Formats: sequence, structure tokens, C-alpha cells
Amino acid sequence: MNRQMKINIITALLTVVVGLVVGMIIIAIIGSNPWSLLNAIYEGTFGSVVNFGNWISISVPLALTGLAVAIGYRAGLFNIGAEGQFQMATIASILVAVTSPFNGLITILLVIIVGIIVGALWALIPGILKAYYKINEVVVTIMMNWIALYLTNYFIVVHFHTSTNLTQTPIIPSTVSLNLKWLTNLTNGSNINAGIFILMLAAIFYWYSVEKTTFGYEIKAVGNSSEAAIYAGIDSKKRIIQTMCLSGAFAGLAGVVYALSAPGYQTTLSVFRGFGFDGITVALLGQLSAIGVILSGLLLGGLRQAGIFMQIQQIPKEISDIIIGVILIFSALSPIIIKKIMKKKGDANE
Amino acid sequence: MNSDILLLILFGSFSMAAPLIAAAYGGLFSERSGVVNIGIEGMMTAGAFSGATVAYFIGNAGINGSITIGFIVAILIGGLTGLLHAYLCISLKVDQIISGVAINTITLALSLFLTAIYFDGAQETHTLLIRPIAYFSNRLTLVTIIRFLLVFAVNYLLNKTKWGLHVLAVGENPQAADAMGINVIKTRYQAVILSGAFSGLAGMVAVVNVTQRFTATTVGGLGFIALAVLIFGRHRPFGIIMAGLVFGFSKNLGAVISTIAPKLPAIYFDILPYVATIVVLLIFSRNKKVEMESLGIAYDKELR
Repeated sequence: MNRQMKINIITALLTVVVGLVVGMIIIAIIGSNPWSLLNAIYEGTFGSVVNFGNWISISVPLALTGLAVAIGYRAGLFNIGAEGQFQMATIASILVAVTSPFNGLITILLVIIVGIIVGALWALIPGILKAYYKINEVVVTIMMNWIALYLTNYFIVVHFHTSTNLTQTPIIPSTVSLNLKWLTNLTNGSNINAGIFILMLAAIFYWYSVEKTTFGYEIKAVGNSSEAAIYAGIDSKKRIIQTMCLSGAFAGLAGVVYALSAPGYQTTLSVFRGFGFDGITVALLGQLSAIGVILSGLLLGGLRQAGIFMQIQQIPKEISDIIIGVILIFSALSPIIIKKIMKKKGDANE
Repeated sequence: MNSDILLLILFGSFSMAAPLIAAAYGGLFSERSGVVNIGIEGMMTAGAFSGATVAYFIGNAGINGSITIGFIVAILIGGLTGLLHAYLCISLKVDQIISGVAINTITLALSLFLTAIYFDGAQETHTLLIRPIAYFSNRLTLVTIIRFLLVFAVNYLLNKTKWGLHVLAVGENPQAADAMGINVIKTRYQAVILSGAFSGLAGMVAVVNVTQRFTATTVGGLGFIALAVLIFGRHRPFGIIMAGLVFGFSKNLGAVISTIAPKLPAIYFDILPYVATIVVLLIFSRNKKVEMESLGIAYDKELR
């Protein structure tokens, strides 16, 4: 392990500690026992096999939308639209799962393909507008999120609901669920499922395509400076569209995993579910690396799990997100602090 | 279509566009000074929560003018979140996108957290006592006049006053501005705090106009639409008005047409403002954009 890596790990841990301390101070201010935070985090993650399984299962879609935002960021694209891509893919997944004439495994594969394509297509529009018309992808993806929300709501209410409830989709057949019997049994019936393997494959794909291929090299060049990329002979238009589609595909995959997990149906929404926005946090916290994104997905998931246990002790569950925000700030701050310390040391040595 | 309906649409467009335009102004000052503000949503949330809560408790205590005080509190708290963003981005030189995203996360979580603390574990604050609709209808003409004046005031402030020109200068070329004796750090601080104040105001407008209390859905993405309006309006005061009105008009057009022609599927009207925004952007995509070379980069005197 080299020195830089050691520094990274230590600062990451310190950052989390700072976030937790701030959380504990807030809990103490409202007159509750600050140590209950640590207890809730332990309970929610390693407290029991069921909680462990649930922790993993809520973290998987967070890490996947994190990858979606991260790959866009590499190319200098800010995909705020992971939310909409996720939403479109979720409903498409359930639709395919419910109507497919094929058996379980083939249907699952079909759902995965459809989800990826739908997510990618939803990101294709802002990609084309950005590449060919230089229209800011932030604006277009924000608009596309709302269009996705209204479209899916409308589709559920008008075409795709249960006989008793207009605002709920039919439930997917149990054969199409991503649940694996051995995993479920191993974790005493938790929600953990094959999504974890999908995430691993996606993360490997992300790492490989960003770090090991010409594509990865070129999108980073486009992200750093599209003018320099043009001089280097990179077709930045093509790369922007490809990256947006890939980003949408990751978000779509998150939608697939979410759709094929418990409870296996969707309802109409008045506000966004937040997976896409959480993906922004996860990507930034994970500093755009595959392993970082997975770890920060687990961190977010773990704190959300802790929120459930905090709520039981009359401490509002939003404490989790306050801590996440604080961690995010300090994670951005730590390299600046380290640089200052290094500089001081350097000055002292001179 | 008779003139009443046209009037209704036009008027509705203004009221729909009002919080958007106010919030987009928030983003305007910050971004023209060179500081990216993705945290408009969070600054609005902070304003909405604090304004709604203070207005409720003051109104409950039987004191007059509770909503006006709520507005003042919302502006102050919004300004305070602006100060936080300024401190993180300008003094500590934190990545500006990260700072904005963190502000969005923390303000929403903290607002809901405090709501649960102050209102016995509830997910929303209690409804304001004085009917806010009455608040606006009594002062409707006044509010409309203020709103129009605000448009000109912002344009004047940014393009005609010395301070506004300083903001534009530090946004375009901070090194040159510094060399001319403009205090880059101070100007950026002022612009970002003003940005927060505008956003806080917009948050309270959303409380009064829409939910009459603070809930997770009061702001619910309005800040992001405001960000879109800001970019759509090309970071110019009048551009923002036009962008806000395109959005507000198409949103309201949908609402009005759906009452005239109830048989048409509502989905067309629901998505109309969002599709219209994209289409208008496409039509005007060849127009010149504002140059903001230093946007997103913290000012470092040593690099001068």
C-alpha cells in the first residue's frame, strides 16, 4: 500500500468520524443520548443477519445511481437526470416482468436489457442536445426528470394498475424477483438479492471502461477540456452522447434492481424517490472511483438503516441525511486541509 | 377564447413564475460573481421551513403581521445559508458543486428534523393561521407592483450600479478585477449571500402560495427548476423573466385548458412546461451565451 492510499483511507475514516460527531452533538442538543447514534448504526448494519441483508439491499441501487452520475462527471457532464432515467426504467421493468410470456430467468434477462435501454434512451435526448446544440445538460435532465415522473404516474393510473388500486402497479411474479433462496435463507429472510452481483459486475465494467480503455481516456479528456480533446482528434460529440447513454444505462440498471426487489410493485409519486439525487452524493463522496462509489453507497445505506433505528428512539430519522451532508462537506475539505499541512511541513523542512 | 380566460392565464403565469424568478435571481448573483449555485433548492428549503415555522408560532401567539415576519426570517435564514455556501466555496475553496449538493441535503434533512422536534414528530409544520391567500389578495396589486419593480431593480442593480458591475467583473475575470482594485472575495461573498436571501424569499413565497405550511414537498424540486430557468434565461435578468414566464405560462395554460377541455388527457398539460422549456432552448440554442470564464473556480490571489 503506497503512502497516498494510506492518507486517503485515514482521511476518509476521519471524515466519517467528524460527521458522526456532528450528528452526536445534534442529538445531545435535543436532549437524547448521543451514543444511541452509534448503537443505531451498529444495529442497522451488523446488528443481525436480517439487518445486514437489508443494509446491503438498500445500498445497491444507491451505488448504481452513484456509478451513473460518476461516469457522466468523468466526461464533464452533470447528469441530474439519473432520477428520471431510474424512474422510467423502474416502470418499464415492472411492465416487462408482469407481461413477459417467458420463464423466470429469461424474463429477468429481458428486464435487465429493457431497463438498461430505457435508461439509456432517456439520457440520449439530453446527450444529443448537449453534443449537437450545446444545450446545458443540467437544464434538460431536470426537465426530463419531471416528464418521467408525470409520464409514469399517468401510465400507472390509466393503463397499468391493479384492479383495486388505481395508483399501484401489479406485483411482479415471484419467479421474476431477484431474490435468491440461499441468500434469503442465509440472512433470515432479509431483502438482499442478486442485485449485489449486478452491482459488482457494473462496478467492474465501470472501472474497466474508465481506467483501461481508450473510451475512458477520451471521455476524461473531453471532461477536462473539450477544446483540447478536439485538437487531440477526439470526436467529443460522439463521446458525450455515448457517456450520457452509459450514465442512463447505469441509472436504468438501478431501476431494474429496485423494480425486481421487494415489494415488487410501484405506486404513483408526488415527489421524486431521490435515488438519482442520492447518486450525486454517492458519486461525489466516492470521488468517482468504482470502489469509492460502492463504499459511499454502503455508507449512505448504512446511515439510512441507522435512521430507522433512531426513529424508534424518538430521534427523527433525518439525522442520517444531516450526517451525510456534513461528511460530504468534510470529504471535499480534507484534500485542501492536507495540502495546507503538507505545505507547512515543506516550509518547515526548507 | 374570451379575454377573461386570457387574463386568467396571464395572471396565473405571473404567480406561477414568481417564486421561480425570485429563486433564479438568487442563482443569478451568485453565478455571475463566479460561484456555481446548485444549492438554490436547499436555500429555498431553509427559507421555507424557517419562515413557515416562525410565522406559525408568532401567528399562534396572536401577534399581527406574522407572515410578514415569516418573510423577513426566510430572507435572513436564506442569506445565512448563502453565507455558508460563500464561506465553503470562497474561503475554504471547497468544490462548488459539492458545497451546493451538501447544502441541499443538510437543509432538507435539518428542516424535517426540526419540524419533527417542534411539531411532535410530525412530517410537516402546522398550517399558518392567517389565511395566506387572504394575505396576498388584500395586497395583490401591491405585490404585483413590487414584483414588477423587482424585475427592474435587479436589472438595474446588476447592470447599472457600481456594485453590480463589480459582480460582473469578478465573475468574468477576477484577476483583472483584483488588479483594478475590486475586492474579489468581498464582492463574491456579498453576491452569494444575496443569492441565498433571494432563494429564502422564494421558499417563503412557495409556502404562502402553495402549501401554506412547510412539508417535504413545499420546495420539492422548485429550486432545480429555478436553476434551469437561470441557465435557460442565459444568466441575464430579463432572460430569466422570459424563461420563468415561458415555464409559468405553459404550466398555467395547461391548467386552464384542462378545465375547458376535460376530455383531453391531463398528461399533455402536466408535461407541457417541461417540454416547452426544452423546445424553446432548442430554438434559441444558437444565440450568444454570457461569457463566464471563472465560473466554478475559487479565486486564488497567488495565481494572479
